[in-house]
Amino acid sequence: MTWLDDAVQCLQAIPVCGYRRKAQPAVEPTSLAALALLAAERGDQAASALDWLSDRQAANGSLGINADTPRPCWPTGWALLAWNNGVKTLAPANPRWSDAAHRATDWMLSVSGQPVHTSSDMEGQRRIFGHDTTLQGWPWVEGTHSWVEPTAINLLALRSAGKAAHPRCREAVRLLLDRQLPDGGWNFGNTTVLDHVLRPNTQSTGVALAALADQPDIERKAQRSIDWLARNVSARTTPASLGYALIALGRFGHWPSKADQWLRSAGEHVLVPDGSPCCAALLILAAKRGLR
Amino acid sequence: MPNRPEYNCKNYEHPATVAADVSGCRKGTCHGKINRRTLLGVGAIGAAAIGYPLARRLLSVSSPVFLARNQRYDGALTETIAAGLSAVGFDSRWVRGRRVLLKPNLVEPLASAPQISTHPAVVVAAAELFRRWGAEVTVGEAPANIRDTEMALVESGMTDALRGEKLPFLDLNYDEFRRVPNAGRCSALREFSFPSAVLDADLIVSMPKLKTHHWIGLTASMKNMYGVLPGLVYGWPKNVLHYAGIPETVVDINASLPPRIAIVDGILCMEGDGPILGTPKPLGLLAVGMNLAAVDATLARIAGFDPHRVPYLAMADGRIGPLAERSIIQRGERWADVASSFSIVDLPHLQAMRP
Repeated sequence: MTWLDDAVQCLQAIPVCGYRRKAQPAVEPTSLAALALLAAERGDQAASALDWLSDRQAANGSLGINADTPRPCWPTGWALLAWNNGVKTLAPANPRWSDAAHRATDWMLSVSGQPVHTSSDMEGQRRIFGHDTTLQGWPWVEGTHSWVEPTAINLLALRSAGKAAHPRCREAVRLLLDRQLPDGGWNFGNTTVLDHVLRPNTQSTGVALAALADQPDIERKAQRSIDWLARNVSARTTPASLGYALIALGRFGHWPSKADQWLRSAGEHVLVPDGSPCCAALLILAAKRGLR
Repeated sequence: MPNRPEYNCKNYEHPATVAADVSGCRKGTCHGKINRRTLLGVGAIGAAAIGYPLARRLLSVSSPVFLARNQRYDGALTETIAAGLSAVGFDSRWVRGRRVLLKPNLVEPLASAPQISTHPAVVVAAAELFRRWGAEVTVGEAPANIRDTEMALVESGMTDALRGEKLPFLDLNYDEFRRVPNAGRCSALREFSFPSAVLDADLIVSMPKLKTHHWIGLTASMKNMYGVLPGLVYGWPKNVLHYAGIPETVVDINASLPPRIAIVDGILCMEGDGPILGTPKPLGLLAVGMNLAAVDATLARIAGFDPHRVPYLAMADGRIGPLAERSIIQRGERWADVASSFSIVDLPHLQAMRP
């Protein structure tokens, strides 16, 4: 048995899962588990996760955090990505997933980050925020500003729904590139504040790059971030960040020579009694080059 | 209770951010040429005038604050904290068998910048003391700017410290949560989602790092309580709170939580463009108090601010605790003897917080 077998077995046992193994099931971890199980060709267990997600969908197409918390709805993008991967991978696919994906897509296109127009002085505004605050993207919580990770996940999700050419997707690409840090990498979504450059972090950079992969001419536009990520991922990188980083580097053909060793070590770290199913799923997706 | 003017949130001009979260500079200072309307406009400040439903009884008594100077991370911190708690009237017998949650500040840790996060040695010292007194101790935090909490623990050095002491850690960003009414009502938020572990704690110990903050002046024990709200509900950063108004929500959160005390890491502080990219400010200070507003007001004076001009403190005065010097009993060192003005970004809203 390898760490990968163990990780897959772990998710097979709890395809509907929470942020910890013993926690209440939640939409994001269950979506990640479904994606990982699909990548590992465990269709039956993935299907039960996808069905659970369908049961959680609200009439307007959105999904909240878990069964008890219908808002905020940022996990909807994860569910959409999982359903679309299920429809493409499994035969026959449950028609409920296609229907759920259509409704989630419609909801997603109806929601956007809150632009900030505090002044006609755009130059002053950019000095404070460092980015174009009029680009919509997606927020964590409806009614607030757009940030990197929800925009990246929803971009991935809409592309999986065949909406890559939709104006909202094109704008999301612009937003992510606008939030790219001058020396490479992304953080939660501010480049500079009050003229001063902020620091990148590994997970946000991995998520943003994974979402931008397949975009035309993207290597040139994001090369500094690919380089930053390749330089900063190491044996010290914690499992969630490692998972996202390797997913992204794999998409750009920059798989580190020690990646398999790091994955094994991280896999052993998360496969503990109350470990994180999210981390297990991310490591599987990285190993299987599975998040698309 | 003396008559006080009605507090109206509109009275407080501050640049609370909605499209930018905490950040700072690597080098240099700001140039202060920002359009004033732009700066003020970013704070979506609640307009409701509010009264004093809270803490009247707290304000009728003086609040002691203990200060210890010449402290070191490799020093006898447990003894200093014990002396501090004793000096402010904390009954050590009360904690036996009770749940104590230690809440450090790990907003966006970086191993090469120890001025950002609460030092693990202070957390370990407090844990040792509360365990000695028979409490069940847990450490919890919900980092605001990064989703990978484990990375925050590694970068802050907390992973090794917690493991060494076998201290359990709760990731408050992802823990189960419950909703409670907003007891402060300074902001328009009707309720808060707090982690169950926070609501079920018998005592929360706010353990911030003393830092300047480029939007709200300084951050200490009250603002540190932002870090109990789950990212799952509020986002990364917790932008919902920014929209509702930073000073308002700082007060509201503190008004809505279970009992809290403060043990503040002022040994290596941050000045300049805090709370992330400011520069180290060695102060050697440890502060302890039972009332967070009184503690933060004292720290504001030490750092060269007028607490009545720091918007969230001014709003807390009359609701969370006292700011007036006459209402704060000094234990240990006198604040004036350890005062050392912190540099701040050269912006009008920050300069206005100076005495």
